[in-house]
Amino acid sequence: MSILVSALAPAFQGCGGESEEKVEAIPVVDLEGLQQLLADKRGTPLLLNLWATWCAPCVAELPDLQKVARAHAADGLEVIALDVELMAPKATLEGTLAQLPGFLAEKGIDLSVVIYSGEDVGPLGEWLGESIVLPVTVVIGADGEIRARHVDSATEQEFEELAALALAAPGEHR
Amino acid sequence: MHLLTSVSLFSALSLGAVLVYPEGLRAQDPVPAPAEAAQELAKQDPEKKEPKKLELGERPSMPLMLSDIDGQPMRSRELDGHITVVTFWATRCPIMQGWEERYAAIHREYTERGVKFVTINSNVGNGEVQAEGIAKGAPVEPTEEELAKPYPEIRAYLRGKELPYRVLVDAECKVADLFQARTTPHVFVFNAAGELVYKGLIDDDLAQKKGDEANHHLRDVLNQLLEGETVEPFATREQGCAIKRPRGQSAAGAGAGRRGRGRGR
Repeated sequence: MSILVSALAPAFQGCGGESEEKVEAIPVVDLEGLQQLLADKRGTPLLLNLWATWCAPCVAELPDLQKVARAHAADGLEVIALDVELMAPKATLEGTLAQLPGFLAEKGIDLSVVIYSGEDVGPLGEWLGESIVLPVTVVIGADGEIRARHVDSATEQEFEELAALALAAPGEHR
Repeated sequence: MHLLTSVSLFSALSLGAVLVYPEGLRAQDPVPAPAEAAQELAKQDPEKKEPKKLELGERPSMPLMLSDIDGQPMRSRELDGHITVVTFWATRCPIMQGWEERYAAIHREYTERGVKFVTINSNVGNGEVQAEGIAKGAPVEPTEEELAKPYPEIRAYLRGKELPYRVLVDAECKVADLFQARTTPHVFVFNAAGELVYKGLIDDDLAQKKGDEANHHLRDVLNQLLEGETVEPFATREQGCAIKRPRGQSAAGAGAGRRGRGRGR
């Protein structure tokens, strides 16, 4: 069964116990949920970036990824930053949900972030046909085909190239 | 053709460099001084300089000649005839750190049982493999004494975490390329004949939540080999931080480099 949970991070509570600020919902998906999410986006060129807050090179490249995402949004490109936070031994979903909104706000990141709920990322790697090497960016065409995987940090220029690859018409990207 | 007739994973060499045996030189011949060997290399056809990538079931196509953080070269006789674990390792990788305690325990336990461990740091691009001083972000502050010695970041990390490894530096990422290693950690197990029988994960339970369901690949392979069993070569998908190669240098892996091509979903 496909599971796609839309979880709300805890709202900040005022002295009177009333919410003062609501933070944006961050989707939490397992492998089936991710597959469903991507299936729903078939027809949309995608960059799927695997990252975690504890992965310094991952965090460092997010601003460049965001620039490229913004630059090509009008072209139809979507970028999903898949947070594989929970693969770390001490990471918890509750802690991630509580801390991630503040982390993203502090870094000025407004990319579409999705939390991968699996603590074992092995099945995710099997499905992607890729080892879980952080950071890694998977290029998916509008036809749903995984066109490339960029292992390790990417520069803004490299993200531009990946975006172009995702946006290329089927059959014209090789 | 590289004529290696004895089991030899490693041989002596100067700091960080990797050399192939010149044409016609056998492994049992005296190992040339690095400068001499480099001259021999320069005489060869450039296309022959690229060694064959290590594949499962095979021995490395060339002796791996690295030095440790004290500049002491690895000696081939240290490994010949021994079950050997080669691990690509890092000081700054949280995923490696997640496995560190278990890996260190395996290192200690199986060293006592005669297994040889080779721990390699190939992270040139983020400053871990830096002979002098430390780059920004070093996880353990070196002491003055450590700063006065080569590779202070690695030295400080080993001290701070009380790790038993002898770390070799892969200053040009050539060993990582030869092994097609992409992550830290990434382990490679060789049987006593020097053949690669396993590469991949330490275990499949980084988060340590699987309990009895976890697969302890490295331990299992070592136990099998120590019991004299034949291990059919196999691999698991590695999980870890990308090895930080110098900018512009492609990573080995899947024959596709840093930018691998995909397949349909």
